[in-house]
Amino acid sequence: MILQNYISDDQATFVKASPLAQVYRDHSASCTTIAGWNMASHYNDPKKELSHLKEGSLIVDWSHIGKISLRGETATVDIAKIAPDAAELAILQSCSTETQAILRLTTDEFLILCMPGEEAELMAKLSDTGAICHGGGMACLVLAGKNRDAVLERSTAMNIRRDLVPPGAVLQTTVHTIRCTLYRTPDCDILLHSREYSVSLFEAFMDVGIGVGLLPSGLDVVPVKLAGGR
Amino acid sequence: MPDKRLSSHAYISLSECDQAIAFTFNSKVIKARSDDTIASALHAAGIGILSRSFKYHRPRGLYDGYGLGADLLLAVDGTPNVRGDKTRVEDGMDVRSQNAWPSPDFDAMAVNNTLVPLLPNGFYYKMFHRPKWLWPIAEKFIRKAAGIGAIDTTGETVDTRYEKRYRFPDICVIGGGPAGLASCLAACQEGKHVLLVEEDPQLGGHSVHTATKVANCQDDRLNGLSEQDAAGAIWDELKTYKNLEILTSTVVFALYEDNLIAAQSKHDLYKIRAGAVILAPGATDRHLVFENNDIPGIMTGRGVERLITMHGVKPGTRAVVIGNHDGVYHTAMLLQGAGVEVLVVADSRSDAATTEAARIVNENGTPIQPLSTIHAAKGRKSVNGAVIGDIAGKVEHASYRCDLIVIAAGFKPQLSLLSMGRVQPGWDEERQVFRVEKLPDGLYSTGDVHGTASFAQLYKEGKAVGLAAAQGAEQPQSVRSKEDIIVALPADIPAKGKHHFICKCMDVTRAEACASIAEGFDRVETLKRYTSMGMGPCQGKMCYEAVARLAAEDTGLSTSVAVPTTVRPPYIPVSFGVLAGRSQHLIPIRRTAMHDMHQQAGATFLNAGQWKRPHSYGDVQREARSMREGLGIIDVSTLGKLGISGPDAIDFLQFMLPGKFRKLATGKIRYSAMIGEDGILFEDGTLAHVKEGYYYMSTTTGNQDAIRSLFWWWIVTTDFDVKIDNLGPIFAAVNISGKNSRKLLEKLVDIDMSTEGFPYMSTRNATINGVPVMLFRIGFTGELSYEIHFPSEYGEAMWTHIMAEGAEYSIKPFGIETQRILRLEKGHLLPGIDTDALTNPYEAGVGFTIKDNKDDFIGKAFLKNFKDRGIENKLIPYKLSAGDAIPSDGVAILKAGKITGRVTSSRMSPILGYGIGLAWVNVDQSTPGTKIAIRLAGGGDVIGEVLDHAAYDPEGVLLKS
Repeated sequence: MILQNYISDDQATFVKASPLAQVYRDHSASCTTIAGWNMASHYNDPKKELSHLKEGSLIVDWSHIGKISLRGETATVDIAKIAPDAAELAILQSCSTETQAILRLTTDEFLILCMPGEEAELMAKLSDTGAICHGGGMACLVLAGKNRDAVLERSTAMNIRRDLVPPGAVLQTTVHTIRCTLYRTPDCDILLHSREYSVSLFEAFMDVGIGVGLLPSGLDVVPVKLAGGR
Repeated sequence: MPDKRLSSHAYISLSECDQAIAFTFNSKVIKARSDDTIASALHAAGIGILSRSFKYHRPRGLYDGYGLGADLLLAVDGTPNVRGDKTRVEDGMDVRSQNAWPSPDFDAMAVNNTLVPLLPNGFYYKMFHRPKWLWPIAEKFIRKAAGIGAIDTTGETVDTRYEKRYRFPDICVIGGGPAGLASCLAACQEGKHVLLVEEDPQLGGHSVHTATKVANCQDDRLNGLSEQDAAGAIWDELKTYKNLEILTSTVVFALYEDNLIAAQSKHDLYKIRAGAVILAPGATDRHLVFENNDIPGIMTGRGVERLITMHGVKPGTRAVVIGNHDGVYHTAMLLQGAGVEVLVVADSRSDAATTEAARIVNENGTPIQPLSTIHAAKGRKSVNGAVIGDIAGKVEHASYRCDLIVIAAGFKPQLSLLSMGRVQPGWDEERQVFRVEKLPDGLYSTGDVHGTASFAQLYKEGKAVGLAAAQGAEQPQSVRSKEDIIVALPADIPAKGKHHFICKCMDVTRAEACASIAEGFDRVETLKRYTSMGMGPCQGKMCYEAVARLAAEDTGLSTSVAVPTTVRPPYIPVSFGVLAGRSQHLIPIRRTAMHDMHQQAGATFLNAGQWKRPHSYGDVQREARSMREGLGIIDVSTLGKLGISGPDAIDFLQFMLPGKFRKLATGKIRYSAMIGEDGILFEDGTLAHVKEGYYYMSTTTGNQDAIRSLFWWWIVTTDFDVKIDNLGPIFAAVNISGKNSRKLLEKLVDIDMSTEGFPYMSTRNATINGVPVMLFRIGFTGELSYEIHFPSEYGEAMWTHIMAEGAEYSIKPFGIETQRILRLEKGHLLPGIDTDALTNPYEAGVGFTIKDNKDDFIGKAFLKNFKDRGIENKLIPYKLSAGDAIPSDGVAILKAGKITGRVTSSRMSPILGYGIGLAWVNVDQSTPGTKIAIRLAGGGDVIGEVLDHAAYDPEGVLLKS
């Protein structure tokens, strides 16, 4: 029971740390605890961060959201246990609500995103499917703000034109040479990636983004919203 | 200095620009307007010589003002080879000349010009080779003298931010002249996402310096407007399309397969992948060859038009204008309107022009000299005269004292992007230009690149091409009327003189080209390579037509079969910084969940692939001793971790691994080597049966990606019903080693930790502070040790907790270097360090992991061969005597003076007090007790003794305690 066990950690007294924990410390970010995770709520100037959301761009850490992958020949059947219509999704498309998104990555692989702390309930529904709860193994950086395309276009060689990659679309791409799953919502570009690269990815974004007004921000300014539809 | 700024013009309205700025040229402050290029500002300031030529250091000045030649390559703010005629001045800019010392005006290297007879083409093949000692000296001097710009390799003067950016338009239009703008309009109207890339800061192409009125245009609103205003009207309309993006001051320097376009915008590199590409690069003035055709003061027709209309600069005071088409009168008119005295217009045609401009020029009293052209320019550092004569170069008609010679000898299409290694241009006898008629699918072309034409015709064709590109249709045919055709002058006006420069970049004259042909280089490509014509900074953009026509002529061929040399990227000089972009993104760093804990503990890090792993936390020897004597902890999160399950999981493992695992009970672990299909040992790891039918495999840090790929490859190509989960990022892991490790674990978990309850090579589940963990009783250090695998988000908390709980046992973190000492004491090999691409697993001492009596498995056939062949070499542990020097990794082992082996790992053992290591030796040296001579890197030998067991705890008592 190695895989399912560790999400049942209600008894844990340890704090879950984001891969960007050191970044929080370096920037003296204000933090809050959500579902056991210590996450940045803002970087000490929420007003400025809010104005960047309207006119510039922000990078926000959502690594605490639930991330469950479902893979294999029966994935299309199993996914129906949490979303009956998800099996009909085209590859690299998604279906979502405000609190949950199901991304179809390949013919037999789905990635389920959910609000922090809700993964245990979903894993219970998928208990006999071999689903994997990625927990802290998969990190999540979010680009938000009006000018976020200016950051992305300096970061990936993938075509991210908004008319071709509309909200709800999913891309499997590399960003700053790091493999990412990009999930686009109306307000954000959500980049899911392996946790060990997270600081490197953050630093690379800040490096290219500094010239186009990218600021780090937190959950007070950009709270988790997973709905991908327009 | 004369004031060359124009306050007004008799025939056109000059652009207004009040913004005064200042920059420096060779440390001298120059005042400029913000709409100036560096070249126009320097010209306005009366600075005529801006650089020196490549070989002969002849003076060079403003010529076409279009960024084609090497004449105006300058160092700007530390960046060499910046095109001065395409770069806008900026306040405070530091501009310096290149290839001249001490200054362009007085250049000591101009002595080369007097040594011309000693420096024929290919002189470095012919001269300075006898006597032999001469060449190294000459080569040093030649190399020092060659080149143009100099890169600041210290990086001290350049602090530039380079970016890479990407675009994915449906249609990319390259060139914002009349045809390009019309193409954009048509494509936008079709709803396509269009990207327009224009080299200049403004759109309109040659229209922006043309006072001619548009007539007969299919878009009636443009008729009657000046071409400049008409282009502006189209631009205004284009601004209303949201599906259009315009990049100005951006130059496309390469066009590759599949419509991949590389463009530079100042310090940014754009990589553009377009559905279709419309090439509308236009045409530029022909490069006419005649005596002294390279002296500053000789300019092209469009060059002077740009100076006057776009920058308000008077090109000269007394001008001779040379031409062969109606446009020459437009140029002469603009010169007159700027107050330049036009001494004569030499028109090679017999019939006088009837245009409005010709009428004005005539009314202003300028004589028109029909059937005439230029024979020679006079002057040394600048033009002071011109000789006019017949087109055949035989009869001189007149000489003029002047400071400006304007050449308007027709236009050559800018074919670089159309050709670029794909398509060979051909001479169009009817249109009198080189042309690329047919492009590969997805590429379209339009505009002056098919021969110059009226604004109306260019607009019409541009619209048709834009529509065709939007609809994926064939390239529409271009049409040129008789009036559009400009009959080409001879490429070289064959008047007397030996300074007829074909290639101004590389200082190649017609006489030198002929001499090279006489030497046998009678094909244009070999001629190019031998003479270096077209190989200078302009890459033939200026001279390609002249080179092709004259190469044909001088080898006895007609122009109709002339071919230009192959054009390849880049179209303009591109700095390495632009190509490289921002380098830090190329090597991402992988950090473990406890990385910051290590930093706080003072770790130094080593690179293990992309991973940063703690090398040590200070004194390696002390770390190793501390662990052996008490308790140590190491972060092993970087290990590969694979979950293997499914109905065929065990069959798959039996196939992939050389051992037998069917009887591996739940809760048990087994060590395994990993063998390639070629029988070579390339990896090892452990396999744990963690629950019924679910296996957990750990691999080394370096090979985990390769192992995962290998496993997936075999799953895809076989019928095994197996699922592989990459659990590497999900779980962090630490190894707790030392005689107190059990005591610490007993504090942390509530399971039976006794040897009987949790024996060596077994696994258990537990919780630490409510966090579920997997415990593996394995070890690489030879001590009682446990690996703890846990969710990575708890990395920091878990590390802190273990360190706090272990304080009573003096727990200390240790790094990779310490671990390498500890494993060496135990004689454990490290794949990739102690093995290589030829390692036979039997010889490496891991034959015990191979069960060749089972069904087929990867590498079985080759392993049989290895086994049949027997042991030839062997990986052996050895020890040195106390006090012996410690050899470096990789040094040789000798026997009777011959190399018989090599050391793969060598360290000082703090606990044993002598050096230990692993080495490959011939089998006859592998018997325990054999003395081996190990050559030290600095010379001299030390004697090692071959061991038959680990140097530390050979029976494994501690490990299994």
